[in-house]
Amino acid sequence: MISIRQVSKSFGDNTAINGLSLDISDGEHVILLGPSGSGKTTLLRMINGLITPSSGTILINGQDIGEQPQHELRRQIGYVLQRNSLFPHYSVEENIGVVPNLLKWNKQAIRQRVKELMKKLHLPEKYLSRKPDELSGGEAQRVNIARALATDPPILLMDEPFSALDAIARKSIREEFMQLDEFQKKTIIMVSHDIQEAFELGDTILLLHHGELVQKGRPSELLYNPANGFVKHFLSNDYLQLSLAVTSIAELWNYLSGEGNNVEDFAGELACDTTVWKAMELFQGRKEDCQFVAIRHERTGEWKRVTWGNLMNAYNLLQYNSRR
Amino acid sequence: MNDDISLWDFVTRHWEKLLEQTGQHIGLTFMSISLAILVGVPTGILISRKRKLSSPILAFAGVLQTIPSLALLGLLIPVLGIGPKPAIAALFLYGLLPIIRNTYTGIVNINPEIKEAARGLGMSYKQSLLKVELPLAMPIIIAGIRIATIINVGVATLAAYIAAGGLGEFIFGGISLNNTTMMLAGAIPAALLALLFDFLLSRFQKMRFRKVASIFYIMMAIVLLSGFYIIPSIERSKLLAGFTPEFMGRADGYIGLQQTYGLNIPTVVVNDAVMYKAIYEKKLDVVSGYGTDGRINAYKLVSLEDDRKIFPPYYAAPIIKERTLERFPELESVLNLLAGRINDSTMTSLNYQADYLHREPAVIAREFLESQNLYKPSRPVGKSSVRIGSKVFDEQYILASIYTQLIRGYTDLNVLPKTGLGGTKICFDALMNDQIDLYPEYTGTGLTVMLHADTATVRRLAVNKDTVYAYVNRAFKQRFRVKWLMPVGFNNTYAIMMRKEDVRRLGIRTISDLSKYSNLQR
Repeated sequence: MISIRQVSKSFGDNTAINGLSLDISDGEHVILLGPSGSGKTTLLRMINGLITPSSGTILINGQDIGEQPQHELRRQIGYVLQRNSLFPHYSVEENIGVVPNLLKWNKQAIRQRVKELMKKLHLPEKYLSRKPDELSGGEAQRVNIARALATDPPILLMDEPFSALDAIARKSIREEFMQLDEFQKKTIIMVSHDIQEAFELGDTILLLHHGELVQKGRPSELLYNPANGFVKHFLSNDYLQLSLAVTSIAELWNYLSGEGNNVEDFAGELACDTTVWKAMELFQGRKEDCQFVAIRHERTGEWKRVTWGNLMNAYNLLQYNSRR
Repeated sequence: MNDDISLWDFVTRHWEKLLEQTGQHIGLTFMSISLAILVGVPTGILISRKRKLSSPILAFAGVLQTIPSLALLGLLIPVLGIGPKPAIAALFLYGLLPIIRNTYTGIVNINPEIKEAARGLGMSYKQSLLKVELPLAMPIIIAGIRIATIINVGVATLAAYIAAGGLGEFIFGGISLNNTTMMLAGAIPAALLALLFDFLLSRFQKMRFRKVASIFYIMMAIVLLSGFYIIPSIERSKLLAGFTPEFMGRADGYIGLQQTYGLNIPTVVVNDAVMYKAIYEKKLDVVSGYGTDGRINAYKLVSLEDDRKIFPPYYAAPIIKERTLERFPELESVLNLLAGRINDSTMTSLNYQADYLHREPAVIAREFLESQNLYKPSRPVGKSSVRIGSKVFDEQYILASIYTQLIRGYTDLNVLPKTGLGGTKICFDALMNDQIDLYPEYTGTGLTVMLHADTATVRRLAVNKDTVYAYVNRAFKQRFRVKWLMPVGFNNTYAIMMRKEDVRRLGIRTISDLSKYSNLQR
């Protein structure tokens, strides 16, 4: 568990973080959101000691991080940076093996771990000896993630890890990352300026403004119960999309009408805990001649074969009824 | 100029000397650059960490760089004496700036994201430096070392002035002796050395850091070990001679001493500006000086008698191109006003005022002319002007000043001084190439250096000062269309000098005595 207690940080006359307190539990995926200058990167970098708080304390598992050797602290915490921060003079293998090397693992173990991670992140083994400048942006960022995961640290800090990638690479790497078991079991704190990304990845969103915590909560809480006008305004541009992304099909199951029972003729199959947004993506990727998607309700075992129109109708009915 | 032998002949004849000089040159460059790396790289790292120190330290290293090389050598002599020590120290100081600056720039300019990644992944300061920052900055650091090395290969030629050896011995010997072959025999290897070092270092630039670091450590070990051998390399148990580059190569110089006297004495090459101070401070025991030098008495030196007559008379007289005399015939009588006016002791006392009391040559010249009732205030100048040259020692400056004042007082000509020309070759070349119109020269120098007279001719003529004068005047007219005007009167002969106390203690009076004594020592 990470506990932040009354932490403030000023740079000269500028207050970056102002008396902030919060707890992050083990395995929680926390996204730091906020406009630029809101202090989100400062907060992230205080957790691994790259920035020392002006006042207040940060505890990891009850231990004050200020009281341990900083470089040893950082070796326990995975860190993924914004842009391409791979060491240009190291090969892919050496880059991924940096932290195990610092911890003096034996060479065999390092090599094995590097290969394992490359497989998980879909990097071909022939890349082992490549230099970072021979990689595409997406490949480099995969190596960057692998480097942070090398020693399987329980905590992972990520500073806008996907922001420098183009839209397509960003989406595919994000999805790969979400499927890693490392993602599932680690405490992750990630800075993002992409609200949709935040809603997709985060269990908890921390919305910061002028160095203060405006709201902490699940994505749907921020969307449907904004703490104040700032939160509402901050999310307003993406409201529809966010709403589709926080609504699961299970929530609108009762409004969803099926089209016949032909279980052979559909383009794809979904579980009902997927979000409406995901289901819409599946429609987008469907074959030309088939308009149906099969959805299964896990609890009842019931099947529904639906069209895009069915889904939209059900969503609208849900919105209409919940507003009333 | 008419060089007697080809470059190839010179090299085959002097290859041992050439190898020795090349070795010394490499040694000086290698030692000084290694020291500069040893100090410069850590300093660069320090100021990249503490940015506030960067401006003052870079400014200081920059100031060191702007001190003229000869002046820096001169400043170091009182502290470190002569020989390789001050040379290495000066070269070390010259190497510092490019190395410090490039180390600093190399580290500061690394992408901050990469530095943050190194810290963020848990590298300590030392690990970040050794594993990330230095390897990434290395190509730029090595570029700095390459610049420093090339500068130092060049500046190391000046080491010859302070008895540190190196290829400068041939280069400056060649310049003073009017011997292009000798000059090239030093200059070409020096240029090749610069290219070779640069090539070798460019290989380092492509290597991996770990390899370079280990080579660096090996190099440092060599330097520290060799330091014990190189620095005290000049033995001081025996008598040590210091001769100017010019003297070393002249038939009426070191060669004559060897051939005629069989003199065999450990010898270093040294610039005449440094020589007197060095013998006075007992860094040297025997030096080649000039008979009329003002410092002989001041530094308590004695000239040894040239009992076998290898030094011809060196009567000073202005030499002037016949073309100039045709244009300005009035010059001849004006310049000849000085004929016979200055004898040996007068010249010595004039030199003393300049060498030792550091008075202005122009003031000395005016006082002398006034005492001779020759001084006239300057006349308004017309359109024409003559250019007076001089070599780079006080006696020449004084004579040039006297001639300037005479011409300005007795004619309408303007005078453009072009004084301080490096050596005999530079002066005479300037005259032949119409850069100057006249300068004071010595009959013996004309005989041996410009006319390349052989030993037999020198010995035949040397009996009488007038025969030498007549011979050079005739030969210069034929060969160069240059006229020797009337001699000024004094004979500034070469002289072998020792300290008074040594001469008394060892019972040495003549050069033969010195030769006998040094042969006994071996």
